Amino acid sequence: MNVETLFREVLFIEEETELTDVTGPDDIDAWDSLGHVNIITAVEDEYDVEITPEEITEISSIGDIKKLLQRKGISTE
Amino acid sequence: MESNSIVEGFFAQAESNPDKTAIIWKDEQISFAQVSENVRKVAGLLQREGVTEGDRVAFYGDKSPLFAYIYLATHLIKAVAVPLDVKLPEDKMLGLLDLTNPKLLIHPTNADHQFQQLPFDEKLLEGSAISEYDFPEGDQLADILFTTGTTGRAKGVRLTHRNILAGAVNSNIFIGNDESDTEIIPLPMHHAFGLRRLRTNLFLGATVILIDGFMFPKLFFDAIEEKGATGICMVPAGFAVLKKLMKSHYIDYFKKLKYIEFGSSPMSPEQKKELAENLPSTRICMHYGLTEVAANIFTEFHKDINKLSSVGQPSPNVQVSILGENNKELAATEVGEIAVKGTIQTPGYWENKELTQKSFTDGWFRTGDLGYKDKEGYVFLSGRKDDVINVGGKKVLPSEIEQALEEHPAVKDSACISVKGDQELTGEKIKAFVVFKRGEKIDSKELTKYLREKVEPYKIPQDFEFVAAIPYTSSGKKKRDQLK
Repeated sequence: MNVETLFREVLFIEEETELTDVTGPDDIDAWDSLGHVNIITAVEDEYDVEITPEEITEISSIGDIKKLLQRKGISTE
Repeated sequence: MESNSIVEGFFAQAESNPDKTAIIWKDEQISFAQVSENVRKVAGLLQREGVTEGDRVAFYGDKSPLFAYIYLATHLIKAVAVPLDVKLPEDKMLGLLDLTNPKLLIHPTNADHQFQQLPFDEKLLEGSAISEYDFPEGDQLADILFTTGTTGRAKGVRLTHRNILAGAVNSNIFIGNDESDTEIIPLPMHHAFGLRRLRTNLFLGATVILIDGFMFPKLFFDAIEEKGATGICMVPAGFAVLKKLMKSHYIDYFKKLKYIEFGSSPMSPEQKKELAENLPSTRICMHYGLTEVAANIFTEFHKDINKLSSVGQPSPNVQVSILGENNKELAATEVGEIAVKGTIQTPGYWENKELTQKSFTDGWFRTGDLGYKDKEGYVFLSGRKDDVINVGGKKVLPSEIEQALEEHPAVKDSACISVKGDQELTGEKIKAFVVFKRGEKIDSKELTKYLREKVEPYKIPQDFEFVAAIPYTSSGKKKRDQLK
């Protein structure tokens, strides 16, 4: 599953809403603090990785998550 | 001289300690003198816009210094503050405006309405500051705070200057914070808890750090490490987010705090115990409260380590009673409605005499919460009076079934409500809304079988609906009414 699809599934985002690498919490109502936790947990489960507290502090867009996964050697396409 | 209002106390602090930092926001440090000047500038603007004593000023509840200036300026000219939730949908906001009929709306909205409006931006500070003013009296109306609570219907809670001052003083006595403290406020400003903490600290001459929500833990840790924060106010859901994101790292930072105040929704005894163990030197306080009667019961996790399932004991200067049928005070351990009396108590609801009348009995404010006191005066919550489900004459608290459901390994969250029974004889029946954990799913038969081992047969829901999420209020309470 790619990162955008994961976002749609976890945050119930409709297809009409465009998601890009720069999409962040200000762009999606459901990406509030609880949504943030759900996203982090879903990314950890889906890609079988552990995201450290330090790495979490760097996440503020979909692109940040992709970069993080790429650094961990995971393809996000 | 003793102050009659928060705004009077704030101006006394600004005179005594003009250079002290009052508000830290992003990279700005704003002194008491600067806040005082900006408050007087906004007060001048409000007067030029024709706002006078008793008029309502409705404004955007943004977590920023501008909010604090408008709030205090409104009080300074003896007008009434109506802070609005920034997430309020347009139609609901228009409804609240119609209800309060403000003389002025300060808001970024482009909504079509008949009210005089100014945009919520820094241009509000461009005019000259007033230099002559006198402070409001204690019994004058200070705020109308809207609370939907768990019922979904907005109620405008009227609070006088005496009420909000008492709320600040009582909580300071319990928590023990003072002018030397710097407190992180991550809570919304239109909400009673966040607003009380803002008022309280500015009144005391302490410093506040305004932070946007709980999503970015780094903001909290920088506030503690670099800006010297000594206290924080939080809701349990916000703490859960921080803990989930930061795992045990939060302890390294939070252990440096002098105090934490939790409130607005319950926290499990296990979670309280864990916090008490992890933060042995931090005063960890939690209040039970309502917008109508402020924070009126307090607990401190270390002191009350053997009473962690209780919400605590009445806060200083507050009386709490448990009322039964016929409004008689009940004996210890008997469950009834929690009622509160004290200077913190609202005089009633805005433009709603019926609800005001219904909410008071012999000077007691009826909270609508059910609970009991033990022999030592500790108060325990049992549920909401409105939520009680009557199954064939037997009373069922939704929270009990929800707790059982949520102990199932596949269940993430749940909410139970009453629905009309199929037959007149059964009266109400129970319907459960269930959210599964990711990748988990079981059917209603299996849930029913599981519940048989957990609760009495009449408490087992007859209907199940599987949903993606349970609706919550902004303060973390289940909105069961919305599911009906």
